[in-house]
Amino acid sequence: MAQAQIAALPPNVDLDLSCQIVFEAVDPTSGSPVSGVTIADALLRVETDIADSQLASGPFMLVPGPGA
Amino acid sequence: MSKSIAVLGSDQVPLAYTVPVPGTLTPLTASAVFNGSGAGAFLPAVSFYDSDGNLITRATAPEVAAGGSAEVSWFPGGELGGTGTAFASSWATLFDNSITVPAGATYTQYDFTPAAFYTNDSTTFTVDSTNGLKLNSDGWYQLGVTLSWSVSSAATGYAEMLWNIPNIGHRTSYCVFADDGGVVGLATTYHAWGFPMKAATVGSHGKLFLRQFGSSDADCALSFGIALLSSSSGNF
Repeated sequence: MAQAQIAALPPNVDLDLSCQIVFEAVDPTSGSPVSGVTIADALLRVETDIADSQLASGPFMLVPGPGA
Repeated sequence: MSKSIAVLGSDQVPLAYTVPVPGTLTPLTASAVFNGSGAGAFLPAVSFYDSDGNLITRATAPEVAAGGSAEVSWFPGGELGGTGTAFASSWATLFDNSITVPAGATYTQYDFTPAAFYTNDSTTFTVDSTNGLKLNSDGWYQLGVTLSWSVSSAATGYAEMLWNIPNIGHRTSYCVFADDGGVVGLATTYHAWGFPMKAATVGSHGKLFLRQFGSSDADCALSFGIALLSSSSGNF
């Protein structure tokens, strides 16, 4: 059973073309990447002026709203 | 307008979303389930990189132990509900409903009765009928007293807490308690809270002195409580 955690996200970070949001697992001591960790149900809620049809990127897809 | 973008199913970390076209995108929240069953201890993280691959900021969640998993939610202000240590204060209380407060204006020492004394920290607080309440830790303390007269003729009265500092050899008053509030002929219950006080000499003894103006009362009730606010011996 996964433990539930909450963490702070910096507010008001505006990202533009080619910027990245990366889900990572880092070593608590060194800060280096930790291998062998899998991730599921990754979701980002974003404020954007990018058209819905252009938001998909890599494995990320726009979550359709009602009536989609 | 806010929108959700997501990955269905599982993937490996690092898992990146790249802003695909010109425009502005501001993350509001993020969530994911991290499965570390095949990994060592790690910090779940969401990192922002600029278009040149430079790290802008990294938001980490509390450590997940080796082999553990976590469902993590990131949002502004999320650190307020993060892991913390419960505050555990040392305290002691006393309740005695059969004490005698003499008439007049003479201080009478109240000897703490061990049987009526309770504490969650018998290291910090000890009590005996000779020395009274003894504070065995430096720090700042808060105390309060309620004293109830059983007769209605008590016109005035108060309780005073004096601390005897053995190594110095004199008594110093740190807290003085209430008067009667000016009510005569009514049942009298006096409540008093002292200011935080400093006990900077390990082994300080506290003695409660009682005094009443007017008639004596042989059936008073005394409630007393004290709590350690901070183990620091410095000033506020």
